[in-house]
Amino acid sequence: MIKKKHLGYYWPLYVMIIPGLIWYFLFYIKPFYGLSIAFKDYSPFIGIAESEWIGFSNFRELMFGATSYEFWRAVKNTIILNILGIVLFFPAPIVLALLFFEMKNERVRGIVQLILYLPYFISVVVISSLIIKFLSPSQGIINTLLVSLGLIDKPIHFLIKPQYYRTIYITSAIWQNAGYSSIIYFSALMAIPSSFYEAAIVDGASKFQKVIKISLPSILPTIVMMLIMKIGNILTLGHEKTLLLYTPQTYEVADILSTFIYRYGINGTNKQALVTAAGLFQSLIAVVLIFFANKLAKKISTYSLW
Amino acid sequence: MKGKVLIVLLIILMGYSCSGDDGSYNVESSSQENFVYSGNYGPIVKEPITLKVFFTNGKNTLSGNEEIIQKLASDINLNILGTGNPNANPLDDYNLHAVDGFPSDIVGGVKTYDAAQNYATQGAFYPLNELADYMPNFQRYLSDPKNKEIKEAIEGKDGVYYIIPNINPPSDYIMAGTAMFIRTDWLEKLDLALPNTVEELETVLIAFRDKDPNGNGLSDEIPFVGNLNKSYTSLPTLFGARTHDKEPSNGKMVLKDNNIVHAWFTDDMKYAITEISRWYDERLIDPEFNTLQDNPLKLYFPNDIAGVTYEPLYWAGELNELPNMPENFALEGMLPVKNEISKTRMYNDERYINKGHGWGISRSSKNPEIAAAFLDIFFTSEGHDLIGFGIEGVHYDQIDTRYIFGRDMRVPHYIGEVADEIASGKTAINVIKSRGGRTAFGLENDYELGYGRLDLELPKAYEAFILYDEAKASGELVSGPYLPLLDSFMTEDERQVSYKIKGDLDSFVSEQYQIMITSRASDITDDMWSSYLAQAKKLGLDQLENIYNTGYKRYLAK
Repeated sequence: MIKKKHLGYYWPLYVMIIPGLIWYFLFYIKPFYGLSIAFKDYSPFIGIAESEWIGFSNFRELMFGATSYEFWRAVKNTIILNILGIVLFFPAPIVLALLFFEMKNERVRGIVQLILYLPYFISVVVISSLIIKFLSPSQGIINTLLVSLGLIDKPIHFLIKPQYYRTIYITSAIWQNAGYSSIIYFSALMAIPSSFYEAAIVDGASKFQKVIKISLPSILPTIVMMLIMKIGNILTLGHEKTLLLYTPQTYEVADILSTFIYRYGINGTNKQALVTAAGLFQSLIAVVLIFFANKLAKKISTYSLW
Repeated sequence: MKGKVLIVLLIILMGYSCSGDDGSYNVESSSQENFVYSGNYGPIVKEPITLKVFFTNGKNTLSGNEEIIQKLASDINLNILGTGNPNANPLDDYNLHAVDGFPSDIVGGVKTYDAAQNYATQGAFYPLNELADYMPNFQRYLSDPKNKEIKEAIEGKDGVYYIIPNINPPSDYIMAGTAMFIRTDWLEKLDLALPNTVEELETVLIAFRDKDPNGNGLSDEIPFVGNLNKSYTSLPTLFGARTHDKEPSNGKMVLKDNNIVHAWFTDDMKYAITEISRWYDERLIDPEFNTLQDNPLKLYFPNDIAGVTYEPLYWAGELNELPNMPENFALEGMLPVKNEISKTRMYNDERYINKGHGWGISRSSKNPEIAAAFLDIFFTSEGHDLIGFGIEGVHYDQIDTRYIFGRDMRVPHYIGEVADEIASGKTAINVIKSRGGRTAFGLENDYELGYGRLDLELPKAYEAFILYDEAKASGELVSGPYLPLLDSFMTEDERQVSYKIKGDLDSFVSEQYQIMITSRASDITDDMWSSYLAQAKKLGLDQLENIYNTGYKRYLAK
């Protein structure tokens, strides 16, 4: 009886959720069927159902076959870039948000925030193009500056030197995304009751102490949640920027799982079953990592996703 | 209750998932009654239907809205819907379409022939020989005794074929695909002779680098420039290493001492790559050859900083006609220099019958007869001329004859907007191409469709063609030996395995070539080469060479 009343009262909300459910079903649930091609000798012209089951052959080929070194190289690079991202990138938006929060002149703060948010809205294609132009050995502003300041004798072709790749990748990511990523922390800071800070002032707390004792602990749940999500995605990196910036000379440090999947799935020999196996491997590791990170977060901070 | 609901939901989910398009094909031709084509240019069907045509060619990808294609569609009573993506790399676009099981009636594109043959072994296309009844003009074309060589290149030995390639008819003239071009104004300024050997070429490149031929007082000259997939794949031939066979499906497999080997793993290639790497170390070739975002020809030559290139004649020749080029700019064709190994002028880019482009009929098509008739239209004289010359009465009013390349060629007298654009300096080929014509469909790419006005529009390209033709005729240019179409001398299994290994090796070679060029020449040691070979063997090099040699033996036995 209660249920009937509940549905009768809330039915518009249930109707409104239907498009979302359909979308979720079509784009997240239905593709699960396609995962079966990781276990098949798949040809799109025979079809998923008709392709022959071959057990774990694709996984064996992926991990121990002739091109396995490329797969493991991609796994290694994805993990390294993500760890570097966590260590170097992850704190940047938190620091920025704290700085924004401490700025009392709202007009100046608004302008600074706008300037720092802007790069996020530039397409990754344009960003990569700018990076390539800036670092060009013949016309790039960076080389021109370094040579004219006498810091180097002759221009360096940064984009084909593996030793520079990760620095370029991470630095440009921080420049592009740190400002925009700070929004979530900034909004968490704004939600802290002002009475906390007033009490701290009465107690004689310095600015730094307010940050350490009030601001950071108050946004810790948000930080932990973001960190768990980041750890869960440690085997995930978008392919676009890498695809635009890497060259065969830098594959050793630049090739990541998503570009490996692109090269083998679309660009070259079109091995869809093999790259589906790679994608499945990536997802399984991500699930394990999320569980691990959640457990760790619960243990350390008592905050967790579930 | 909850459990039951869950079970029902799961059943619905699974049913839905399994009923999805799994890529299998279901041929159910419902078009027979509607079909009226008898081989004459005109309506193919009584009631118009939509034919989905996937033809990927970068910005020239067929959309169906092009003026010439619209005229064609109206003449043959079909709606033509282009399904390719003009913003994608053609091979990526082609492979992505394959993932969906080629959901178009007709599927093709530029440089997709090799991939198409691979997909054909998986059942992607209708065998066109089985649709011969719907392609009378094409059959007549193949059975014409003068096209015997073309027939063999398309059909192989068993007569089963899936793709109609963009055909270059064999000819004593116009054999060059790419050519070396050099700044002759720079040579004159520095008082240098045209180089004949690779040593002399190196001396010229060093002079271009050091003696400031552009006279701006800066050391900004880049002696050798070009596109990664053109100039740099031709470079090894200057040092005596062959790079590929001219039959597209043979790819990089070449005949050497009566044995088929992969061209990129020979000792000659090791020597060539080491020399190219040395040139890179010495700044004789573009340091940004594989990271440059712009077209190197249109970036470097107009800025007066490039000296030599090795590109398609049309592209390089066109640079001389661009506005705002440096004063006295002259980029002229030269023969490939003699290499140190064979002391000959090795040439690897001779045009072949099969250009590596083309199209076939997807197994997903519900109207294969109509699709076959559509392919046949381009072998009628009207269809051929429409694609090559444009629309009669709109783009041209009559066809004249010009004597060029040793024969009479039909050349349209352009009118209207087309004539205006040509008068403004554009080439007729580009003007017609922008309207949907002159594209690399599966048809005979007769030279008169494009080269009848070449001497007027691009005189430097024309001169280079003649230079290469004469050198070929006199035996000065050494090309080949070439292989026959060996696919048809392989078993189905061998064919499938060879395509897989070739694909893996192509990616591997492309990566390693760029890495080796930019590493120091002294780093290309025996050890480095051994590990390069070892990885190639892991990828199946020996197996691939065995398959090809077995196929070649079968061919010789025949």
